[in-house]
Amino acid sequence: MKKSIPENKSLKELYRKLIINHAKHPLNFGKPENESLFAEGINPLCGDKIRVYLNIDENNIIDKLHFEGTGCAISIASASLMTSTLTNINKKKATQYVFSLINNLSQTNPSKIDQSIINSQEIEALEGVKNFPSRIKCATLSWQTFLSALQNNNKITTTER
Amino acid sequence: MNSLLKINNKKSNLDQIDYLRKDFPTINQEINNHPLVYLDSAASSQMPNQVIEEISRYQSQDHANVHRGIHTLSHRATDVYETARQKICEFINAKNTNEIIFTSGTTDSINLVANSFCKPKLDSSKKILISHLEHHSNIVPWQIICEQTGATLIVAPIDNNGQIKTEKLIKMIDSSVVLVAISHVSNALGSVTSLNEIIDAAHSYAVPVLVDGAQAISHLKVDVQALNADFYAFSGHKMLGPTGIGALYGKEHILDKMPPYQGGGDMILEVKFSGTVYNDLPYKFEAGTPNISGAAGLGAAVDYLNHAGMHNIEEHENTLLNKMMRDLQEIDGVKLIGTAEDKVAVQSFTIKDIHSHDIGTILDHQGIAIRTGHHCAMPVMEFFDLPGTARASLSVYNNEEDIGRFTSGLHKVIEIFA
Repeated sequence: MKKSIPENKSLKELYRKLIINHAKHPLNFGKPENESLFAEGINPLCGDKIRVYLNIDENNIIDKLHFEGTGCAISIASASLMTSTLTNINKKKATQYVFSLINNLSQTNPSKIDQSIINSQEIEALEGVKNFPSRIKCATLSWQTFLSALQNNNKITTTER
Repeated sequence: MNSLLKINNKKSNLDQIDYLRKDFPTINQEINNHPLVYLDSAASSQMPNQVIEEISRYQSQDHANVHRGIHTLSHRATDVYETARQKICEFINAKNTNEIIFTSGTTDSINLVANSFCKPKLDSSKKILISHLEHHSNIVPWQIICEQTGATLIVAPIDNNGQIKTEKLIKMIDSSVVLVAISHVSNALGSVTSLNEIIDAAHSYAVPVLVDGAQAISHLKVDVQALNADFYAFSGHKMLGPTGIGALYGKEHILDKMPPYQGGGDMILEVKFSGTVYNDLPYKFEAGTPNISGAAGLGAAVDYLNHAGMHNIEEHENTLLNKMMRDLQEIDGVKLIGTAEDKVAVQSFTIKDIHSHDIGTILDHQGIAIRTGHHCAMPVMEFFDLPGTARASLSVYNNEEDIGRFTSGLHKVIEIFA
């Protein structure tokens, strides 16, 4: 028998429809054929594993950004949102944005993600993790792995460093 | 009046087991505005007041160093510590207290055997035999000493139900095997190992057997003599006791021949620069000031389990486990992982297209605590080709209402992902 449990606001914030949709149908998922830069990120606490592949054109624009891996809804949705947000963005601007985003998500204060670097309303959906300290790393894993891929860092990036 | 005293006056039965719940202060609280349902005892069990109070009593009345002082407090501390050893000895039916070494827990116990018993015997012609079911703490210590000595770690397979293939394991035993190290109960799946057959087979080649009892000790009546195990390792915090204390049982004639594992105070009789005389068992393996309050708490936990009655606990938990398995199977998309016939207190599962961490977070929001991920048994997850599972585990304080709350919590998880 189904027993109804009252909806919880912060849980709804975490699992917004947008997050669930990205988790179920992630964008840019899979290894592309000719990627030039690559990195792998793992969260040793939970076993999430994300690989980020990217390509930068002659004007320093990220023209291809893909990922693959296994993880929870938050980490897959976050990686999916990352690929759509950072594709066609200048490398320097993207780096600046990623640092600012990781910094913002890692703090439990209610400040909003800085939209002045890249304006992406969808990214706000990730702010739900702030009420779930144990899930923040799920949201930041792919972004950290992206930074590592920019360096073409074949070393494994972990959330525990 | 605490319920332990009441139990003393009456024969224990399942109703009283349910009544014990009141003794566990951690269980009786709200988490995220819901009464807590604690289904993570396989990771760490909660302590009853009797254990918490004994630790506090020891710390506030009896504390001093053990085996050292001439003064009254040192005698009292020594008495508390050695009484706990005696209780553990009786609890697992060891022959005498020389066979009970206090350690910091199962991991420490296994590392002790790896370094003191196995390592001196290993070379490139030798093997250590484990199973695919093991917790990392019964894998990595063996990998380390095999790497150091050139010995080989061999791994017995498991079947699709998550049970060790006993016959295959037995076929892997020969005289080149220095030790068989296997879990009594799988932490990830709850499967109970056929220890009697395995131990008999190993002994027919004169190969000793270490049993990782971390997950069995609070769920099954353990009798080390009936099992004929050579070593049996377990932790206090998985048997209603505190963290940082555990024990290694070893047959006396084997422990006697083993060199010390760590050097320090208490493990010596005489120290001279020309040579040191080691202390007798069990102190030879207990270098430095031990975890006395932990031992006090563990002794109280043993008392508690004895009063509740291990057979009552087993019956109570089996009833709950059967209900949990039935109820889980009725939920669309749920798949049970670990379906061995002989199983205790643990159920791993997955829900189609929902990652275990999301299950864990949504349940936590309803006050329900389960474990998610690889459960420190990555090879088991690899066998089932899963990144992880959700795992609900039981203890003496769980009841049918917990199972009901848990399964309706899972409906909520599925609703969010619908």
